Amino acid sequence: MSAVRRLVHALSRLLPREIADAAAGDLEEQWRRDARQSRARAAARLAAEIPALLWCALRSRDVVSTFGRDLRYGVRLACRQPKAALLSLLTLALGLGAATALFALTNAWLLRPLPFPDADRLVAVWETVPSQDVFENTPAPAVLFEWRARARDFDALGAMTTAVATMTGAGDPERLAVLRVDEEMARVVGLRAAAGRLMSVSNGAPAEAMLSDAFWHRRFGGSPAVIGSSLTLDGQPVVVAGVLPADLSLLGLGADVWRPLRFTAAERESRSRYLWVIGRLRHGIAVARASDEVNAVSMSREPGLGARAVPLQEQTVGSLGHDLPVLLGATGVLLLIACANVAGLALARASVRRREFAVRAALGASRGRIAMQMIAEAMPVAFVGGIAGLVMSGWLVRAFVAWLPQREALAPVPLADPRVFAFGLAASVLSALCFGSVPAAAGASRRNAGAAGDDTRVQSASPAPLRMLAAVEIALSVALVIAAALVSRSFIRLSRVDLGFTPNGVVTFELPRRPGSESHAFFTEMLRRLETSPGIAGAGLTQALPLKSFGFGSNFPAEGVPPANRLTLWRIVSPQYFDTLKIPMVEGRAFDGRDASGAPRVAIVSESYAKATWPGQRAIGRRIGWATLERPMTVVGVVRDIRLTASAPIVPHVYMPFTQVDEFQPSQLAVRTGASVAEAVEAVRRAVWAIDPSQPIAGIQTMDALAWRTLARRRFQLALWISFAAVAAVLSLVGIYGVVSFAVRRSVKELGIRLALGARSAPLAARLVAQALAIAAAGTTAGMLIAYWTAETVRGFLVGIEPREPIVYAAVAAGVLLATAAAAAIPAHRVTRIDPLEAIATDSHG
Amino acid sequence: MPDLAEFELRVLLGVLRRADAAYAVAVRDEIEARTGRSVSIGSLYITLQRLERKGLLRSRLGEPTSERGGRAKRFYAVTRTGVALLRAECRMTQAMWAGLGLVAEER
Repeated sequence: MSAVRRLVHALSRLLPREIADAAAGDLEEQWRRDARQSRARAAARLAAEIPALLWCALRSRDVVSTFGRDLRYGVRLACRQPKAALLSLLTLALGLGAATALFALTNAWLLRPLPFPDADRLVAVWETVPSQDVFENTPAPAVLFEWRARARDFDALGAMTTAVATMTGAGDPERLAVLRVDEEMARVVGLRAAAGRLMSVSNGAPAEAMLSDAFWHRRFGGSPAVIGSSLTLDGQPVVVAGVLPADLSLLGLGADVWRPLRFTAAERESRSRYLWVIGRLRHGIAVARASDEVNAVSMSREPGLGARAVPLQEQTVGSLGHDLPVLLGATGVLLLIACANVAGLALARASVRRREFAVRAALGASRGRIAMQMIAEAMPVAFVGGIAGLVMSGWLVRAFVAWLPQREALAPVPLADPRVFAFGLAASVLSALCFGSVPAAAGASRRNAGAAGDDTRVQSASPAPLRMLAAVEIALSVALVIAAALVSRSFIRLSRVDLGFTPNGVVTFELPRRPGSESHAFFTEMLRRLETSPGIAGAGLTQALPLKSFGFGSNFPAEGVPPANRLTLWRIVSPQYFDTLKIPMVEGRAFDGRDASGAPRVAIVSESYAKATWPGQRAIGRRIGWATLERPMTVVGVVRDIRLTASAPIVPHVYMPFTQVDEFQPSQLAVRTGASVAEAVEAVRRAVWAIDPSQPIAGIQTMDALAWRTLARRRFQLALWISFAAVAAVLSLVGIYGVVSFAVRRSVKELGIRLALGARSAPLAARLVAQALAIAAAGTTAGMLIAYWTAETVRGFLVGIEPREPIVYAAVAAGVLLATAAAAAIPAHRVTRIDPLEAIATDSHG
Repeated sequence: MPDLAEFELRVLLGVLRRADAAYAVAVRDEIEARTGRSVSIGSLYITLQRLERKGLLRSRLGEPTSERGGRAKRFYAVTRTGVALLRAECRMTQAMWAGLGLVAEER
């Protein structure tokens, strides 16, 4: 017999007695008749019967109307005890809000495809240097064209790069972020215009540009008049073809203006790694296979290098792809704690209603009926809590997105999404079942049978289910608190990482020179003026400051050493750069006036470069080259290694005097302040504008602020975990408080008798606290086990520490036990105020 | 006299049309054949029971047959009240339709 047939027959047995048999016969007859033609059709028709049968069964048993009555009773009950109902409601709203918010984010970023045609076939393609743990290096054009020529698994490989441009002729000169995309990139991502038309990307087309939606609104107020007009970028006229869609973002590379990227024959050979590549896989090709192919192409081209393809969705959400599911799980735990809390409240009320249940049971109500009533009574609170949770999730999502670093990369989060609503609704119904079923099970238990006349029995503790709930709450919150403590510890460690330089007291500036304008003499004169400026203790130039820019990497072979393909970051700097950032010299000298444009070419290397290239030997006096050894440079100094950010690994560096590098210009200035930041900024402005009044000065930030910003993601995670843990801890402490105060209320009579017989109140209070501690100890042990088993899930949030650090577990356990003792002591203290005479006369159920 | 819902009316008429052997499957076939709408057995029983409670139908159990897995049929018949109600319903409906000429007489 098929599953459908069996199910339908089982259902027909639930129908009212007088028709059950006939209906089963009818269904069987129908089945046999249909099956003669087609079994599948017969099964489908039978399956279509299920809802009506269910409805018929429920109606006939008065389940529906009874449930409705219980629902109304639940509403009345909540109105009669508004404080308890409000507390339950808020607790639930908190749990449901957090869970729904995280689901909305997961839904928007992980479940919905990116807004590109055939988004599931798009991949980001990176060059890798496996020996150095570099897996996301931007490839050079030479590599890109090799991939295009030899990788068969791709339909197309699009390239883009970032640039800056100065816009003049329309008010103040402004420095714009530019994204250049090539023809294939436009095809791969299906580039289109939201207003106006697409710029022509192909070779030989006129100079055109497209504006990002944000820039269009910020600078031109969203005026359509600007479309078709001409802008002056870097002194060249460029026609605005159109405006890009607002939600368009490629790998999070934000830009004001998009321009075409074209390669000259020489540029195609370039080995400078400045491209971001997005590829479209051919139909039916797995990402892993394409990744292997492109890796093989890269390896055969240059040993030591590789390549890999990453699904664009995964690349775009980045670490959030791992973080969100874990955070969603954490909010699930939070919701469970909230449910346990509300269940505790309901349980406390239910045990006051023991007599009501006993009377009803005596009058013939079945246990199922009483359990059903408890669940139905839970529904109104859960439903209103669910609505409040949905509203709250809207705020939480907005806060989350506003706080999130690099939010440009991610799709907007729709709140009025049917899936989010469905989730919120399902979560509230499930939590009603969850917190309704605990008192339901307790209310329906046989032990109530004798409770009708029971108001004299002395109870010295809270009922077992209540203690159990409190223990569960503590276990779950201990697991969350341990996770939060680990994340905090990791964050503290990270914020204390030695960067290798001293960001404190340094202000950074961006001084982009217009292309074609003279630059060496300008910067030399500016540095000379800054040296004598009061309020400035040092000034250094480079093209990419740590904490601010990654810069570009290259290969620096050394004479007489077999070539090792090692990614090395390079920086062109001015003589005082090391002094300004306080990067200590290990050996040799810093750059100075000797290293002028025509002088012998020199370089300074970082310690890790020197150690890897000349292990155990002196680096000073040796010669290295930039990509090739054609124009060697002599190493004159070795400096300490630096980290670009606290969580970045150490990468070897080569420094060159900016005066000896013609292809690149410095554009970033670091100034160590003498007195105040304002004074230093003023001094820089004076020095710059005295030489060139048209020079824009941008990006004024302290390095402390930059360091703070690089920790944004970590700080954000920290804040999330701490808030989860705090809410969980508060809820579970409220749970413990409830258990103890319930025990005090229930045992007033017993305690009164004991006090009357000469017992002292302090030991009685201590016993109550000890009971709470026993619960907490059990919960904490279970919580530590949960944390231990699930430790791997939080690893992604940690840097430099293990997720099973015993010290963290121990500290959290101690903290929870202490807090429990405190939470229990408050109600337990009430024992000391019991008046024995009054207590003995009390109705302990009151 | 109570008003009848659309589906109740169809079920009553279906029972009347299969007066010889009006059990659920037959009534269902009758309604489906004449209205072209599909009807589930479960929802038919909900209505049959309601009509029986209202006193418009009565039912009796038949003999078990093997083609139904050895289960008996429950046969329904329209009560006198039911017939009276159907008559009244028909008159009211015809009065409302009279002279509109929206649907040409088919028979």
